[in-house]
Amino acid sequence: MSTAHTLDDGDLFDRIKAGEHQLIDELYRRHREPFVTYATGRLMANEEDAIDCFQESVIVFYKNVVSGKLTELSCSISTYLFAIGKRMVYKKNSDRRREAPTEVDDDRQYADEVDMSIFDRIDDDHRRQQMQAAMGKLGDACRQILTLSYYHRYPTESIQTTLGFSSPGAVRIKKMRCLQQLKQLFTTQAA
Amino acid sequence: MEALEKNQIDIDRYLLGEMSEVERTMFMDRMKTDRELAEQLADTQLAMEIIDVAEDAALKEHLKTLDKTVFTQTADSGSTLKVVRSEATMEASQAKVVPMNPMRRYLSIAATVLLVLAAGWFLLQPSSLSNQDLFAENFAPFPNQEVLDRGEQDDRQSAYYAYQSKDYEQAYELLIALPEDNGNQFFAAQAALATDRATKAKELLAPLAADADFALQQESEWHLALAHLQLDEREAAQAILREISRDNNHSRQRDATVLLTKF
Repeated sequence: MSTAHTLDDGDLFDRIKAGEHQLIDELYRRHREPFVTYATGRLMANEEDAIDCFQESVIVFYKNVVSGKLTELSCSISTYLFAIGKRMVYKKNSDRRREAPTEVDDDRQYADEVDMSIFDRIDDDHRRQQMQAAMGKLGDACRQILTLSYYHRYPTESIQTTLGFSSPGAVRIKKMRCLQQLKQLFTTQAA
Repeated sequence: MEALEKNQIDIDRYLLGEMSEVERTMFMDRMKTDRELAEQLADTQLAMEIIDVAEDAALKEHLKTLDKTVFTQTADSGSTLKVVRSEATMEASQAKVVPMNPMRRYLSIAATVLLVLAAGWFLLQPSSLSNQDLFAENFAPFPNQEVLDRGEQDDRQSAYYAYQSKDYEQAYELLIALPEDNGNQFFAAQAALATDRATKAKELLAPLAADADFALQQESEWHLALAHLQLDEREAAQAILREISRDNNHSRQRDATVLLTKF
């Protein structure tokens, strides 16, 4: 049986940082309800927006961990997630022109350190759909190697072992071919 | 090593923040005069943008599915979603966010094996385990700790001795023949599940799962869900597991929550 629920925050963080990204599920299960309760009760968010913002905050947390922006966790994961999620709720409320909550923003220090480019997502729906379509047309092998390299940030040696390549050089060559293929798929669509 | 491959190594190190300040400066200087390098960099940046968008979307879908699986109430249960109210206490300590540093994570063999199972969000498909596999993964006969008098060989002693000895075939035959009290019925159901008699187990467990005065009522609920699984009655199993996962006082809450995510 799974032992994920017995891990404390520190262990969970360390293991996600070490590559066990499936433990994001445990992190989600633990912190989702408290955040939704908080966001709907204190931040004037509706439930749907609260859930959406929490999902986005988990994604940001994960990407900050794998990119190396977050290397140590000296507060609880919930504190970190709440800080990100709160900013997202504020933005959603602003977009919907909802009443601003009167809660004092006492966790500004955490939110300020969050890469605010999370709000600079590609707003062009059409371009985003083209990107997803291009990725969807890649074969599984290419998608695996590119995702492990550039999204999950796994080192070449680990990818070699995981995907059964003969050498790090073989991984690099395959990755280059896949990059070319992805570029071609995207630019063909965009043309 | 070919020039393109060498360029790609440098490009990856540059874009993934693995270069020192000196290396970054030298790399940017090279780009001013090396057109091929600059084009290759631009191509890689575009690819990373595409991968980011696509994988963010895939991760978002994964979390939405997880949310529906674990937190959505069933329409016919009549029960309300239990919201665990907890104060969002902000602790005094500071989250340390440090500037991007070169990071090489040399994974242990154990972690590498996990990579095989978790390569990319889009490959994290719902469990391909069958209902039978899920049952086998989750079922273990509930232990009977009763101290038996080995000198006395009445039917009851024999039945529970067989159970404790893990002779579930004999245990089932003997337990079924005993007077129908809740305890005997419960352990008979356990032996039934252990010997592929899920229909009988379901019949035995259903009243026990509904009996609030029975000490093993919660275990009966959990095993009833497993009996449904063994019978390929997945929806019935899910309905019970959802109820269990919402009950913070249930002894099997976490087991049910984990199992639900594997459907």
